[in-house]
Amino acid sequence: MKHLWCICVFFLTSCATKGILETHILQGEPGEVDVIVFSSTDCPIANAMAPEIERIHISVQNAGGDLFLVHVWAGRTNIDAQKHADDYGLTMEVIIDTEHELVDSFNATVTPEAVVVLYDEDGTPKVIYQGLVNNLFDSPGNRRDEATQHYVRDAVAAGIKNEAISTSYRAPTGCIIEQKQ
Amino acid sequence: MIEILLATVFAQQEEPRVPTWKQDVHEIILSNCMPCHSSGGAGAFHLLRYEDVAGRASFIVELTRNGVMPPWKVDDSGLPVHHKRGISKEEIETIQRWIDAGKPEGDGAEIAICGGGLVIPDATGHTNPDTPWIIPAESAARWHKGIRDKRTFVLPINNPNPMKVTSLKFSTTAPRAVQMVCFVFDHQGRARMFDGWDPDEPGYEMMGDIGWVPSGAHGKIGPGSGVVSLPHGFHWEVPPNIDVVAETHFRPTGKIEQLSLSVDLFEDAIEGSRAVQEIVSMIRRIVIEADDDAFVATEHLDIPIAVDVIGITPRAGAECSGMNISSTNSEGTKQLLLSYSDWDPHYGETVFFTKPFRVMKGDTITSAWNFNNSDSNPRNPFVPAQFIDLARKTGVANFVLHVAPVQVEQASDLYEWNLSMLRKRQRAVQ
Repeated sequence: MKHLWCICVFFLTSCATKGILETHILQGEPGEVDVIVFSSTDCPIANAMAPEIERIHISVQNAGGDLFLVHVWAGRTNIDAQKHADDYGLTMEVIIDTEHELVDSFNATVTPEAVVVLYDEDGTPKVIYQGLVNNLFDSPGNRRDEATQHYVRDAVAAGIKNEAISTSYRAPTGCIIEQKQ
Repeated sequence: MIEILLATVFAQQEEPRVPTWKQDVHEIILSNCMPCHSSGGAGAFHLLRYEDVAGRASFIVELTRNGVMPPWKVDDSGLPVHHKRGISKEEIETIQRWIDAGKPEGDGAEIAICGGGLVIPDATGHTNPDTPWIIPAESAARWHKGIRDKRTFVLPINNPNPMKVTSLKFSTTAPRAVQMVCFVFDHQGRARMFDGWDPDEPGYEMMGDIGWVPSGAHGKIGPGSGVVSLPHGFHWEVPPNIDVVAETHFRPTGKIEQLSLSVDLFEDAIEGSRAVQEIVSMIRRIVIEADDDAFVATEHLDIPIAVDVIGITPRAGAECSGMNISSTNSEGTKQLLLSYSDWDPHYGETVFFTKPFRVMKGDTITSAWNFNNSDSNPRNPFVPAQFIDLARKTGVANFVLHVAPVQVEQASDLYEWNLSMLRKRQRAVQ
């Protein structure tokens, strides 16, 4: 299990672009579940899952947690992210990981890639699931009409109930995150 | 000493040059990724500037190595076809070496890739732009699963005179959501009747078949293609006031999209141009058990009139995993015409051969469709796999052969034979 680090990133809220740099630290109460989804404003695979990601956000929020959408491509600005959130009806907090600090921390490889975090009794965050959001895409170019397996949804539900998760990692498929040079 | 010097010289000559964006990579992108990955194209993102490509270079290499991009599913084993898309191994390797070298931009003038010029059509049809069809953010089951993520639209051409159509160009306001469009020319107003059933909604929720004519009989476009262009010397005869019926297959993009369509028809028929007809090879019904991953359906057609086959439009659902069509002459010589070893219904555009293939009277056209009704088929719409019993009067799996009779005066005989075959198959399978 990996532990979350405190990371300095740019961030904005979904409805009003603050446009300022702030320090953002992931924190949670014991038993709380947070979700991080690595994404990109123009990755068609991540975008196709936007409604599902928003549904997960609502369910996590209702349980007291948060979902953070992390845009990974360096060319993105707050304005791009705000327009993307508006277009796709996303209401979660959006992070632009310009320097790939979050990408490197979680060894994220593609978008979309999800990380589900459960805070234990003393508030220590632990990754209980990482990988595929669902099985809408078998691989890039191989898309089902609709997803039939909902891995993140299931992991969140299990985390909230503090139940064990059978598979903690599913190799994600999507748009490759270009390595920083 | 001389040997050492020569070895050094040769070693220096064999040292591959480091590729740069300006000298090497932009040309590869230009020839393989345009026009989709530019403004108004179907590509999800632009690949025009250095930053666009450098920011996705590894993804580009993966998709091209895996054959996902450029979109092209036709096997090389059939007849040579026009407008084949495919990036070479050498080109992919060049992009990889460019990545390994740190993606140098190179010296020279700033390079950005630009689009093409303006071509004026002879006739145009479009849906009402004031009432676009709303593509939902996610796929939604409709009144039966067979028409999921499909909508058929009527595009009146209002041509006062008959036309000899040689090509058809498609445009849409939602190019990233539209994956495939199957066209039929309707001169009987049948599609208008279907469209009128729900006057408040643009289009209608049915396949684009018109009578016995399957959707796509007059061309089909897929990812990477927006034009159906008949080979030189052939045309479609189109009567006055034709409607172009556009069975539109869309892929929800995650956000609501407003869909309007238009088609441009072009007349560029030369003197002596031959009218094209459609011979339909098909399986009307399939019955497949759950988990059967190797079900094969075949059909044989004995061609009664010599024809030149200029192209083929394939059609089958996602439960189909592969298909091929071949011709066998009276001496038993078999020629594979078209083959898909990895069929994806969203990539089944019309293909035209670089040279017409002549089928003589009495030759046999054999079609075979492979179905994988198991969970190992990543596109199987029936998940978990379930018993399938599908039937359609225009066929659940087809090859539409675009042909011209060798003897022009036999055109009506060919038409009548094709129609009788379609009726016969409908009676035979209940």
